[in-house]
Amino acid sequence: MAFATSRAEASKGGFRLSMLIYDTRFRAITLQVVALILFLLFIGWLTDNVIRNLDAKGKDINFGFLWVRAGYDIEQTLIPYTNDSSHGRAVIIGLLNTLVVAFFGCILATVIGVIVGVLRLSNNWLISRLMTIYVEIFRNVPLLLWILLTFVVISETMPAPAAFKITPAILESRAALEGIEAQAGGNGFWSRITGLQTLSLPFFLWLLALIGISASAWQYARSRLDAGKAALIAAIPAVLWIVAALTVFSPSLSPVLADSEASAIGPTEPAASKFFFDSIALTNRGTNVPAPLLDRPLGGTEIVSVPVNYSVLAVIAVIIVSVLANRSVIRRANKLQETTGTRPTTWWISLLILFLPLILLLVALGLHWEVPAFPVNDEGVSQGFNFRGGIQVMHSFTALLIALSLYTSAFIAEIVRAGIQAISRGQSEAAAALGLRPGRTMKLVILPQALRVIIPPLISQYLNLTKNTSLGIAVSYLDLRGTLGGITLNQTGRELECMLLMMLIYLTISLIISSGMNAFNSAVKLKER
Amino acid sequence: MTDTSHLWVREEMLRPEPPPLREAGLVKWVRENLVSSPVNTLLTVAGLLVAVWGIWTAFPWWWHSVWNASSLGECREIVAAAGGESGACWAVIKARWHQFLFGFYPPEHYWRPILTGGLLFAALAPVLFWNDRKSAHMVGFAGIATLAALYAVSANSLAFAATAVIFAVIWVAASLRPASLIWVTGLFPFISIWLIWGGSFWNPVNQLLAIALGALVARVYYNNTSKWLNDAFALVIALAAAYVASVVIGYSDAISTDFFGKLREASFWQGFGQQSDNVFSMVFGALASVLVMALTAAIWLLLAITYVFSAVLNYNLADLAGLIWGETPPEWAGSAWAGMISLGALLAFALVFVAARNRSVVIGILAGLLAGGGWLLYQAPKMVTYMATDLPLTIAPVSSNMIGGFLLALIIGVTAIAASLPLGIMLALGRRSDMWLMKVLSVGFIEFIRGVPLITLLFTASLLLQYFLPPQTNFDLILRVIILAALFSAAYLAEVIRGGLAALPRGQYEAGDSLGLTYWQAQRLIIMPQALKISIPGIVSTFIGLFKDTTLVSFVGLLDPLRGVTTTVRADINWKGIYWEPYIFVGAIFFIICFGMSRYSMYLERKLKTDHR
Amino acid sequence: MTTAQKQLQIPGEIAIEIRKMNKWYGQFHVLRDIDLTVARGERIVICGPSGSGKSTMIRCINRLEEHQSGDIIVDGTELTNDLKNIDKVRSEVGMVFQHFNLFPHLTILENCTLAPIWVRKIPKKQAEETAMHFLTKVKIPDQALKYPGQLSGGQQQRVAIARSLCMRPRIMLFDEPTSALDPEMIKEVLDTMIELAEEGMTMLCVTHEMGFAQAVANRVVFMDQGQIVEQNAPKEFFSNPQSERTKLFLSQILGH
Repeated sequence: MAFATSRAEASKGGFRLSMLIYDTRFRAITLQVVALILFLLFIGWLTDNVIRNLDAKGKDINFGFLWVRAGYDIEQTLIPYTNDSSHGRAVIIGLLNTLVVAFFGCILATVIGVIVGVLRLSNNWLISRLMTIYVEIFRNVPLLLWILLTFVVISETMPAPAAFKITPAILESRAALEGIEAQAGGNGFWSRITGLQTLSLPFFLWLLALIGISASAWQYARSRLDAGKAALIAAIPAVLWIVAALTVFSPSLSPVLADSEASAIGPTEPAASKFFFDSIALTNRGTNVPAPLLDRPLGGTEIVSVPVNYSVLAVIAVIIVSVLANRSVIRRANKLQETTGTRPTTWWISLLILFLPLILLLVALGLHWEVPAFPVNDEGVSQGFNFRGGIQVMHSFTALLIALSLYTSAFIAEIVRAGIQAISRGQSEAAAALGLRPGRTMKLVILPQALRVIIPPLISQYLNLTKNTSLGIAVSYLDLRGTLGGITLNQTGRELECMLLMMLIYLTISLIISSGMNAFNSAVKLKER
Repeated sequence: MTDTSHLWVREEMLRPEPPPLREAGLVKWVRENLVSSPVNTLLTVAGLLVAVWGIWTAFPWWWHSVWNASSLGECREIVAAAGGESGACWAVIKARWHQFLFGFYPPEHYWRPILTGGLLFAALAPVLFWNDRKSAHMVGFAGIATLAALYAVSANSLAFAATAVIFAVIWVAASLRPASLIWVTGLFPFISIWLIWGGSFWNPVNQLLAIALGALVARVYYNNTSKWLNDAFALVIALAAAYVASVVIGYSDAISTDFFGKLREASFWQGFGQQSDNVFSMVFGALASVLVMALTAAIWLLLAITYVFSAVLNYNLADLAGLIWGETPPEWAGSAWAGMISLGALLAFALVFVAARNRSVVIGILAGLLAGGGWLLYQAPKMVTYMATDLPLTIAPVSSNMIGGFLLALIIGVTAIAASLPLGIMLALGRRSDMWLMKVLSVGFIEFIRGVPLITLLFTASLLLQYFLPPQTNFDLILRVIILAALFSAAYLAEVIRGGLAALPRGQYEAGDSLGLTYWQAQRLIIMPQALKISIPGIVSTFIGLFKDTTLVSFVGLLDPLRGVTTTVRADINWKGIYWEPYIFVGAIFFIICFGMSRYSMYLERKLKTDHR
Repeated sequence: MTTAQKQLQIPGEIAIEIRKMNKWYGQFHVLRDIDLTVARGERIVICGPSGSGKSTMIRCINRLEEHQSGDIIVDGTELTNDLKNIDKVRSEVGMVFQHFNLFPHLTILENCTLAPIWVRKIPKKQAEETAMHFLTKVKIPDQALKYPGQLSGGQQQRVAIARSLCMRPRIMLFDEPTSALDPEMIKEVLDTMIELAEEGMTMLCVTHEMGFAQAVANRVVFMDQGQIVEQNAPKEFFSNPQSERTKLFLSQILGH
């Protein structure tokens, strides 16, 4: 065809120069050649400038510094690192730190974002308003502010580790308290009820929760039963709530002692306490969380100076196998449904397959948690200056993680909301008219369509989150930006090499994520046909 | 069938009655909106819990706000004296608000950024309302607000009088003919730069003269009817193009000899392969070496082609020169690159001449740019010095490192946004272009910018840009940051606009074609107005994102309101340990601006929709 | 077929001449050896089953589609790859689309004045007068300041006709102008087209409105599988179709 054209045209007179510009066949080529020449000249100009600037400064382009001793410390590392390690290793530590924040941030942001997005669509006036406020506040204020504020607040308001210590004075007060309690007739259930502080915030909140739980239980029971039985059923959670609250939360609801007596004997507990069943301690230095320890570890080895832990590998392998096995169970159930029409109950098999092997493995390995605590001497007085055991998570990490996931979750919430709203009401009405129950409608009709709308922007939010981890520099979090683009750059003075390498790494991460997105998009498109 | 009748006729029409109590009023609202199901009841209570807890804990803090104190300690004393456990210490805002807003801008010159801000609204009015009476109201409000702000910073009476007069004039013009405000928009960039950075008034005048000259040249080129004049014009432009081409090719000769020599002896790969004591570094080194070698090979290939090409030419040219000049041809004909130069210049001349004779749009723009740029480069400095001796209309210069706070955020935000819009449009068009090269270049640029964090680009601005520019070029850090921020948001805008373009039906392009509009006419008159309208939500959210991202400039040492100024304030011994108040203040201002923008875009979207239905 | 072609007498000046025109979409041969000559003032109706290439053919006439071999000469200008020729042809040939393709962001008046101002370089005032003249002609002068979205389909199509007329074209192309319209609106558009035809405009019209063809056309061209199968004066075409394909087609569209 091309031949036919050119022959047809060639017969109509010779070539004129103006055809280069005003002939549709040559115009595009001319413009592109001109653009190519200009572009190459521009690149050449840049390169020339770089060479001359480097010359003037007596520098060259050399990546050798990557194998030179780094000489600086990094507080949080996933793989072994000391200040004797090379800059190259510091770069990898930074990259891993970036990826760790990004990974947990994405998970947390997705969970919060999906919840907020769905709740924002709820027909509950109060909840949808609250969620709107959440989304608007986090969307319209710079991320940097959230990072800085979170960091400052957790590091300035948290107590020093010393506040968790049990001092001799506390022990004395405890002894004194026991005496008074014995006189007052013990720390019984009745005294807790009479001691309720009805004007305090905790009591008010507690009462509100009680009303909510009983009202909701009543509403639920009333829709199925008559009034008498419903009242009986609604009373069960209410009573349970009262008992649970009085036993578990009693200190804040009803201090046993009057203020004057308590102040006379001094504090009986340390100024600060660990929370979540006495396992996590928030101090102004960091967050102390329990560390998983194994009694019978499988050992490990080192591959190119990166340690490989066989136990972790085993856990990952078991999880993968379980997921695969679960898939085949579901597939079999699908097949059974296709042939016989009835679907076997599989949820408990799934649960078993998913969790039993893992639990067995962990038991076999002897998993237990090392809780952070102060060493205690014979009398029960805490020793030392900081917690022993467990893992101390840096506040920079915590602040970055919290701020990133709250900020990103606001955007994800909007994406989820828009995705669900994009499915017209007609779809759910059509499904309902066919007799599908709401759960099935969601799973078979709404979600497959909504996900197609949701996932591409969701992944670009993940991309944003990953790039935004570079703001960790504001709280001195040593990620890729902090090591390669920060300390290493300043120490070696190799701006060009460091920046190029850093951009290359970020670009690679981004391209991997976006190619994943493209793969998803094309997969979805195939299904459309 | 005959004896049973189905006939029934209503004798009297029913009157509407109010619904039962359960279906009306507050009860209905509560039933529907708060307790419609057990889950909803639980959710309502959970929401109430959160709300009550939040108000209960925050309320005393707000209630005990302290506005007058000189230090955090004093604040705490006042709160304790009032019987509160905690209280907000807004005194820090009262003491330092000017730094949050203006950085270290000299207080006696606060009227300058304030006037600029007021003029910004006047300049925005025609963009927002176009030919509407509302723009006059907006100018009026902006004027009053500006005067009020001037009063708040106790500006001198001269500034007051000048502001009042300026706004009065603009207001009268806007009331008479709203469209005339577009002139304010056009003048604003030059006036605002002069107002903020100070210096001679003749600088903006000269820039405007350059633009006027450029516009005049382009206009004469397009609108003259004389064929003779047009040919003469084409000849001049083509000669200029030939000259530029020869200079550029000569320069590229210098680059290439220098560049490839350097590359050959470069220690580029010395880093790899050294200290390869473990597998990892060896793999890394090998990969890097392969990459470098591939790049070098590509460049060498290009060079070889060019050399062969020019050598052939050179041979012919040398022969030709020998015919003309006898045995000793002039020096230029001997060089391999001289052939390239002559050929390139000739080609440039011919192409530009042909295009210029046909009144090409691009040529007109280039001619205008050339004329304006020539004026700025050669004539403007002379004129400034000449006028400065006779009539020195100069205001005190303010250096960039004194500009900070929200002033800085707004300067960077507004400028980068304004600059990124045309760039984003060009990139979007490039990405949708049929031409392979344009597409590849646009996609490459967009994906690169979107693939790296803004922070690395800002570091590029502060650390690397000096490497990529000719030695000894150095210009203002704020300007460098604005350039990189504009490139950044242009890449994002390009994607947004591309979406808008894709949403336009093909018929619009075809209708434009069938009416005989050229590509650029169709883009400007038909495609872009619609595509931009479709992409308004995306554009505004890109703008909001960019505005929030202006806080990142603190990482390259500029005084942004968030980290720069707040850190300064918190480092003050009087205010050490304060954190909620400055962050709430800064956050609230950002929230108002960003939330306002997003609401405005929603309003705009609705308005544009109803306009056409 | 060839004999039928020879019998056709082309009177007067030639407006459009298509010789041996071929076009492919990839491997698909859309138009095969199209030969068509249109005299000035002639009104031609092109019909045929869907996918027969009739739209593609008239879109080739103002180069919305590129043909790959053969010649098209419009109003003395040959359509080659030369952009200037293309622009010249497009400003002389008006086109009306199936889906109107009005510019929704411009008022009716602006729609009509856009091309005269920017392509013909006519002063705005004069362009507006012309536009009002043609809007009056298509009987919607009172809608001039509205936006296309506020008009009915029939009104929009009449505006589209007026918009093309404002360029003072010498030839008008209609690409199924009534097939996106509700039945009651078809008549108002056809009336406008008939009026235009009576003024002597050269018209090429792809349509299934056989009533229109009988009322105004000089010639009916029937296309199938990318080629012209039969052309004849409307009276003979409908009463005495020659080719089997034509008979089948006519029986299908006139059957009910």
